[in-house]
Amino acid sequence: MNLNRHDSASPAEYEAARPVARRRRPAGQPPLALIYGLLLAPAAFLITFNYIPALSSLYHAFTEWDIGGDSTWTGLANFRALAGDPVFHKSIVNVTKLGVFAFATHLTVPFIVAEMIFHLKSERWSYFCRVAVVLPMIVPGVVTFMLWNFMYSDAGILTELLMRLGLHDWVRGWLSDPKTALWAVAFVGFPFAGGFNILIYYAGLANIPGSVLEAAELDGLGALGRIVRMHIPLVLQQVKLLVVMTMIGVVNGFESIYILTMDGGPGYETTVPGLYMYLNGFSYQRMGLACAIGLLMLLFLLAFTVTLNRFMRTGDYEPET
Amino acid sequence: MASESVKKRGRQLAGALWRALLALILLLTFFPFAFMVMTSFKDTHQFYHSFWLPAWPVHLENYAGALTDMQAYIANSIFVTAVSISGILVFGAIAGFLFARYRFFGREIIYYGMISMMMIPGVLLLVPSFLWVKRLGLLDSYAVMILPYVSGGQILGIYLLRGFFSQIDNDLFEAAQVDGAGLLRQLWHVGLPLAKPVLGVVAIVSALGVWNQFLWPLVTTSSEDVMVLTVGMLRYNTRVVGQYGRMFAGYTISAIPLGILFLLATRVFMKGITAGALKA
Repeated sequence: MNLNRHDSASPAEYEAARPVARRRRPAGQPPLALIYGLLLAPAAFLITFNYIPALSSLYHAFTEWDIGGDSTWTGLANFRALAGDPVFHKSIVNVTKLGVFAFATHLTVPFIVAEMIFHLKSERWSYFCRVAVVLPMIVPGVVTFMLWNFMYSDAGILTELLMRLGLHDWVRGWLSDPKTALWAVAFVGFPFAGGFNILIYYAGLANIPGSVLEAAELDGLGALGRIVRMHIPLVLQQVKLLVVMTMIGVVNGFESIYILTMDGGPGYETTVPGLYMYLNGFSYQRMGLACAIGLLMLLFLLAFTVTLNRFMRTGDYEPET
Repeated sequence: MASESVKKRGRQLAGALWRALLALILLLTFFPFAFMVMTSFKDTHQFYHSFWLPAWPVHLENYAGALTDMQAYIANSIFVTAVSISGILVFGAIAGFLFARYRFFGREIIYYGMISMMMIPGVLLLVPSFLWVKRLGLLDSYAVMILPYVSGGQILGIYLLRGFFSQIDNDLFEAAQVDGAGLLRQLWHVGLPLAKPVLGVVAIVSALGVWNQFLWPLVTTSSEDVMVLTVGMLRYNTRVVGQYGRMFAGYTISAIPLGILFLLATRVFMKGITAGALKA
């Protein structure tokens, strides 16, 4: 504040003031106790409701754990059991199928729709379309799944449509026939033009500088050429984000299956690891095994994200806020 | 010359096809929801005999009946969501502000310790979390939902608000400081008014997340007193088996609260959905 204070103050005064001045925090810094005190509540919440369950999961994956809370250390027994468990194997096959299907649809259809919206000349129509694709999100996810459950039911739209078309032989219990159950689960949300994937692609397209677009036009690139040679490379960042999100959704998402088939049936045709974890925890009372499944899923997701980050370096996604 | 105009017409045609395809995709997207609303006004006879088309007279009593069944669930959902969002905003704003503005011992360690929990999807911890809150004696209460939602939801708030506050010019806060405003008053009078757009995004993302929670309340609550809408819908479904009009009236009602939020804050809502992707 006053750099020449030693000119006006006596040496003794200066010496007395110095240690205090040195220890004083930068101007306006509130006392440390206040800062730590204010951080206490958020930290306590996180420790109680995030860290403790996470560590508990890590520990109990190696135990046999019953509903009463007693656990005994069993080492790798849970993982060995899973390695030899045909249901777990089946669940991995199922989730892989669902994943391949989800990547083929949830990454492509939204891109095409975003391109369509991007090419609309009128800003008003473009905004209207973006609002329209978001609107279904006001329906709770669970209710959307119930709606699809109805669509597949005997009184539902699919059956009714086939009857109308005279294709009586095609009608079946879509969710109870082992041949169609997994497909029925995969097709929930058709035509996959759901809310935020489109908005993310659209944001990517809208952020391409106008000069780049003009340059491409001058180079005589046609519409398709522009999309393939320019738009796709320039939205890779968004693609990467959506790849991660889709993978997380596929691995963790078993709410739809819970609503549609309840127990992953018929047989184990629609069982996925997430649902198997849930059933082990809450129906079969094998809590330790459930923790082991959760841990494997988490390790898979972490490994996937790390690998993706290594092979697709595109910088971080920054939303416009 | 002639080929130019052919080319132009071809391009117009392609454009028209492109738009028609877009319209078709949007129609297919909306079809289940349009069907839901249409059927919600029918009685069972109309449902079977006029499956594809609207039918008269409309049966508003479907809504009256559905509302009676669902109002308690909706009230619980609104309560849980509102309290959770408040907690998330308070914690997010305070912690985000502290991390952005001040230096203190352990700042980065604490910050990353908090943010890193974003990497662990809560659903994978469903079983240990359940046994833990059971031991804490929280089962079947509002707290068993609100406390973990605040805990997990604050992370995005802290992350986005730290980013926002660290971009704000320090002079603004220093001016308040000269006037004798302490940390909290600086946050309240200077920080928060500037941060409104970010707070809005955090609020919407959290609202969508909390409102849609299903598995957690399913396993931790069982009494009607605290049951939220998503879980209540399961019971509702079994109550209205075969009464399709009433069933769909209930489904439609379930969309109204977020629908109102959407009407009030379309732009923030859309931004929030995009930003929600970050959370993943």
